[in-house]
This record gives sequence, structure tokens and C-alpha cells, in this order.
Amino acid sequence: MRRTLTAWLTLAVLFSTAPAEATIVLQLSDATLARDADAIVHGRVVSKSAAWHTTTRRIYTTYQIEALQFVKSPTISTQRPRTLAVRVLGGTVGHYGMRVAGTTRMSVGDEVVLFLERVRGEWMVLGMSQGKFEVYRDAKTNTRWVRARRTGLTLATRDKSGRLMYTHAKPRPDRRFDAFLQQIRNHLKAKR
Amino acid sequence: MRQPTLLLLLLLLPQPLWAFLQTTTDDGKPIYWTNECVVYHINELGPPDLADKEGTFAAIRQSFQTWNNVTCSYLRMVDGGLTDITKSGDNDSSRNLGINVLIWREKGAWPHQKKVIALTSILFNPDTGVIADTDIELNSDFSFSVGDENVKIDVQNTVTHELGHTIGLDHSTVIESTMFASAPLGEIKKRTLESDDIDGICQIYPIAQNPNNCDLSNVGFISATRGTSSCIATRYDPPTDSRAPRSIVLLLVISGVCIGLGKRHGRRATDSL
Repeated sequence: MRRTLTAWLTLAVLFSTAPAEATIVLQLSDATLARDADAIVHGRVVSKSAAWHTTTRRIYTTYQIEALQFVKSPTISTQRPRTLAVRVLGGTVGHYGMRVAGTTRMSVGDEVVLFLERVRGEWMVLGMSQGKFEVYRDAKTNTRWVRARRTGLTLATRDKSGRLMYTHAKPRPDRRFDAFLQQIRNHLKAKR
Repeated sequence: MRQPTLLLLLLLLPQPLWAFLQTTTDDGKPIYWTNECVVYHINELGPPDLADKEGTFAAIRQSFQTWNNVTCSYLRMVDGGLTDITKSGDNDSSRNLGINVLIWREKGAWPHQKKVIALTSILFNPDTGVIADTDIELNSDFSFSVGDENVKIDVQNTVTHELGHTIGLDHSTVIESTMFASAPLGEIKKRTLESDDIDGICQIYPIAQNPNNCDLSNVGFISATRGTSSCIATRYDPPTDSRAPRSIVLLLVISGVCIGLGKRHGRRATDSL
């Protein structure tokens, strides 16, 4: 027991200050994410591809997300699409790699909950990596959980007088998937 | 050694063991510049809500100088003058890379997610980690300031920090360092460097390994319209051996042409300040 405790303390010392990167973004609570999102989708990544954007000359990675359910239907349409193309700044095309801290990265097969905003006709993840929650299954209990990873971000919050304060993005605890979705739905109801 | 003793020793270790960090490619290669000089251009518009445009540009130049004052590093940040280029990434359609731009996006014209205040993008060769281009974009929907009074988001503080990222430095774990992630509003201490930041730049670009290949051929006003641009000689070529000699020749040719143009446009840049 003592040995285990010592090991955990050692790990805590080693990793208590995890590195991050350069993008500065407003910190968004779950309620704000729910309120400001133009769509909230629970889905699965079915493909990804990176390409140069023809007009902005940046590399974007486009993820095709198969929608398993919409927690908030797209505000731009009355129809619920089966797939959504979500565009993320950065990626690799041939001999060119583009890196922007704090952007969302996903792999094909990932199950996610995404809070999306519509920017110039494209779906993007709201608040950079703040708007993405990974869904995973605990094999022992067969329960689903969501995990938030806000790496690469410097978060800014406003104090009571409206002044901006910066803070390092702290890790958030994992939450049960069903409870998380219900919490988001509650935020959406409260908004109405 | 007993475990509690080991733990105590770990707690007492000086922080630099896990201090400055270098940004890496997806597969872990550190990213870095191969040139002695990195030339940056500032978009001529500056922040729209800051009347003191000259003061803003001076603050940015002071940020360059802050990094240049490090004597144990060979890397030099060069003020390339102003530009009207508004694109980041691959800055123009003719696929010239290496125009490093610092730009405030106009109010309402922020091309990224709305809640983002500042964003630094780095274009590099994923096989080698060699940086080809880097751009800093600042969102004018938020208020910036220069000088010591009524400090909001301090330009010099922010740019000095972001410049560290453009040369391959990641966030440091040393709270006092300029490359630490957090910065309270109104903070100005990141205008200067701390020992950890100096360790970082000197480790990546040690003076003893100066490649002496400073290319200043693209110094001077660079226009987004190719017809009036001065010269853009810092090309990024994919890493194939067969192309290397050609790119060197191309660089020399363009550099020669640009000496005259650079002077003319350099004057324009100075005049416009």
C-alpha cells in the first residue's frame, strides 16, 4: 500500500505540469458549449483527409462524422444529416505538415461527442479542442464514459468586471456518457 | 535507496529537469529552423482599435530584439518590414513559403473559431521537422494594448511568447519563464526572457553551431500582389537530394535580383512607418 502510494506520488510530481502549446481561447463551460453550439453530435469518425484549402492556402483536415444521434440539431437545416464534414486546421499533405496548437485530432473509428459551430459555411469544433469529448467503454463495467482533452490551449476567462484572465487548461475528470448527455440536454432546456 | 528518500529527492530537484520543451512533429521529431535568420513581416494594418500603430510595431520589434539579445544562440529574428499580405500558411497562390507574417485579423473577419484570441501556425517538413513558415494571427475582436498604462492584452508580452513558439519552443513548466502557458491579463513580465527561455533557444540554436547562412533577401515590403512584391527567396523545397542543388542556385539568383529591390522596398517600409 505504502509502495503504491509512493509510486503515485512520484508520478504526480513528474507529470503535474503537463506541457501545452500556443493557442489562446476563451474558456467554455458545458453550459456555454451547449448554448453556443450550432449543432451537437454524438458520432463516429468514418474517414479523414487533409488538403490545402484553395483560397486560404492553409492545410485543413476534414473528418467525416457519421451521426449516431444529434443532441442538438443543426441550426442551419431542418433535416438531420447522416454525416457531417468537420474541418480542423492543420494536417499533413505530402512533404508539408501544418501544426496549430489546440486543434482537435481524431482517428478513424473514434466515437465522439462534438460541439460544432458553423464558420464561413464549414463545420468546426467550437472552442478548439474544448468542444470535443471522446467516448470510450469501460470493459469491466461495460459502461460508456466521456473524456475531455484540452491540450495545447491557454484558456482565457473573464472576471466580474469583464477583464480577461489567462489560465492553463487543467484536465477535467471523465464523466459517464449518459449523465453527460443528460446534463447537456438540461443545459439546452434551461436555455429555452 | 529507500522510496521516501527517493521521493524527497524528486521533490527537491531543481525544475529545469523538465523545463523548456521543444515542439515536435506527430512522430516526435523536434521542429526547428535551419537558417541563422528568421525574417518576419508585420501586416501594415496593425490592430484596428489601437491608435498607436507605431507604438504597436515598436513593441513587436522589441520582442524580436528580446530574443536577439541572447548571446549563446545564433538564431536571429529579423524585422523584415511591413507587408500587405493577409494570408497565413502558404502565403500566396504561387506557393512561395517562408513569408512569416504577424497579422491582426480585422473585426468580424476572424477566419477561425470565434472564441479564439491568438493562434500560431507552423508549417514544417514532417519528415525532418524543418520549419518552412510560421504565422501569428491575432483576433481584433479582443482588445490589445501597448505601453504600461491601461494594459489589456499586452502586445509585447503576447508576441514575445508567441515568437518563442515560432522557433520551435513549446510551453515551459517553469512558472516564471516567458514560455509558461499562463499569463494573467495585463501581465508584462513576458516581455523579457528568463533563464529557462534562454536555455531553450541556446539548446536548439547554440552559437557554436552557427550555420552562417543568414538570408536577408526577402527583407523589405512584400506585397500580396506579385507585380509589386520585392522578392521572396526563402523557398521551401521538398527534401529530395536531386532538388537541392537547383534550389541553392535559385536562391542565389533570386537573392541577387532582390538586393536592389529589397533596398527600394525597405525604404517604402520605413517611409510607411
